[in-house]
Amino acid sequence: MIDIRRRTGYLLATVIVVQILLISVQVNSSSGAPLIQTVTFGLFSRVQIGLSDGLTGLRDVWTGYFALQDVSKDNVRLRQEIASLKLRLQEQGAMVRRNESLRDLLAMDRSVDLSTVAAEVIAGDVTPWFRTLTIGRGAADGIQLDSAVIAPDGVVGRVVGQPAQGAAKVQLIIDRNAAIGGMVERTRVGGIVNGVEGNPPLTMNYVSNLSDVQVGDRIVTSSIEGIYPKGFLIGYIERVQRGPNLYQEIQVRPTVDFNALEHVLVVMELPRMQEFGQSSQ
Amino acid sequence: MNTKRIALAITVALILQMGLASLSLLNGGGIDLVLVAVVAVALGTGPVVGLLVGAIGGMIQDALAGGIIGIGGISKTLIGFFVGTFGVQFVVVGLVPKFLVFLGASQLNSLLFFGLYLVLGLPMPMFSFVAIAGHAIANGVVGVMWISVIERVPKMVLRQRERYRLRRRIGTW
Repeated sequence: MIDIRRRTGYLLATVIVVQILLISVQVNSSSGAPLIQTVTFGLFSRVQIGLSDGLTGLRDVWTGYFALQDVSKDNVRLRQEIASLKLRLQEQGAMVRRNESLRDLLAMDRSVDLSTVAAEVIAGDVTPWFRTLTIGRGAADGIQLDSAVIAPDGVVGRVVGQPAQGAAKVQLIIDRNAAIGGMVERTRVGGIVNGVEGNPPLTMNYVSNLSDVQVGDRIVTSSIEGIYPKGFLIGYIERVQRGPNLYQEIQVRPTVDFNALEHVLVVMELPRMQEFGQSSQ
Repeated sequence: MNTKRIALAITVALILQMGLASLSLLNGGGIDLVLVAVVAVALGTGPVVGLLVGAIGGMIQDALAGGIIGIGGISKTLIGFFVGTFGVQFVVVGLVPKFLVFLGASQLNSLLFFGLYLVLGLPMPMFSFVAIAGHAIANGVVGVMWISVIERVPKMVLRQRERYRLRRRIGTW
C-alpha cells in the first residue's frame, strides 16, 4: 500500500493532471481543436521531433562515418587520378611550350643565314659567382670554344672552355667577365657591353659623351670581338647619364630572359672565320 | 484537524462565499473565503491535505461560479501544497505572520489564476495589480479572523459543555 503522505509530489502531479484534463474537456484551443488534443499533439509532436532528430543524427553518423569506408577509398583513388591528370596536364603544357620554343628557334634558324645547331639548355648556374649555363650539344656536334650562342630574343653568350662530347658550357653576356661588342642600332655608335652586378645587368662602355644615345635605343652586336655575328639584338638602353670623363654611363636591359631559356642556337662559324674564309677566297 | 472538520470548513466557506457573492460590496472587495479556508487548513495540516482541499474547494468554486472547472482548482491546489509545505517547514504563530501568509497566498493564487488563463490561451478576465493587492489584503484580514475564530470555537464549545455538565450536577444535588 502506497502512503500518499510520502508521495506528495506524485499526488500533486496527479491532481494537477486530472484538472488539466478536466479543463481540456471544457475548452477548445485557439485553432478550434479540443485543448487536450492540442496539448497532447504538441507534446507528442515534441517527442516525435526529438525522436526524428535522434534518428537523423544516428543516420548521419552512420552515413557520415561508418558507411564512408568505400568513399574514403574512392577519395584516395580520385585524388591519385587528379594528381596523375595534373601531372599529365603539366606535361602537355610543357610540351606545348617546348613546341613553341622550338618553332621560334626553327623560324630563327631559317631567317638567319648562318650555320647553326639547335641545343637544349640542360643546366643552369652551378655557382653564384658566374652566370653560365650548360647546353646539350658538344664537340661531337661541332661546337667549338667561343661559339656564339643566340636565342630568338637575342644574344645569349658564348661557349667557354673546351666543350665535352655532348655538352658545352656557355658564358652568358650578363656575366661580370663577359664583354661583347655592341652598337646603337639607330646611330651606329659603338661600344663595349659588359655584364655587371646590378639591375639592369648590362652596361655599355666607351661611348662618347658627344654621341647620340637615347633611352630605348636598341643595342645590337657589332662583331668587333670576332665572336658574335653582326646585328643581333643585345638589349635596350634603359638609362643614359653623362659621365664625369669622356664617356657616357649607359645601362642596358637585355632582351633575353635568361631564367626562361630552354633552347638556343649555337653559331657554328665564327665571324672571324667567315671573314678569314671570305678573304682567302 | 480531522476529515469532518475539514469538510465542514470547506462547506462553510463555500456557503458563506455564495452568500457574500450576493452582496456587491463584499464581492467587490474580492474576499475569497474558499482560499482562506484552504490556506487555514493547509497551515494546520500540511501539503497533502492542503493540496487535496485546494483541489476540491477550487473545483467546486469553479463549478459554482460557472467558469471553467479546473482553473481555480489548479491554482488552489498549488496554494494548498505550497502553504502546507511552508507550514510544515516553519512554525507560523502570531497574527502578523499569519496575515503575511494569507496575503502572499492570495497574491500567488491570483497570479496563478491569471497565468493559467494566459498559458491556456483563454479569454482573460479583468486583470489589475491594484485589485490583486486589494484582494490580498482583504483575504489576509479575513484569514486572520477566520483562524482566530477556528482556534477559539473548540475551546468555547468545551467550556460551554463543562458549564452545562456542572449545572446538571448542581441541579441533581
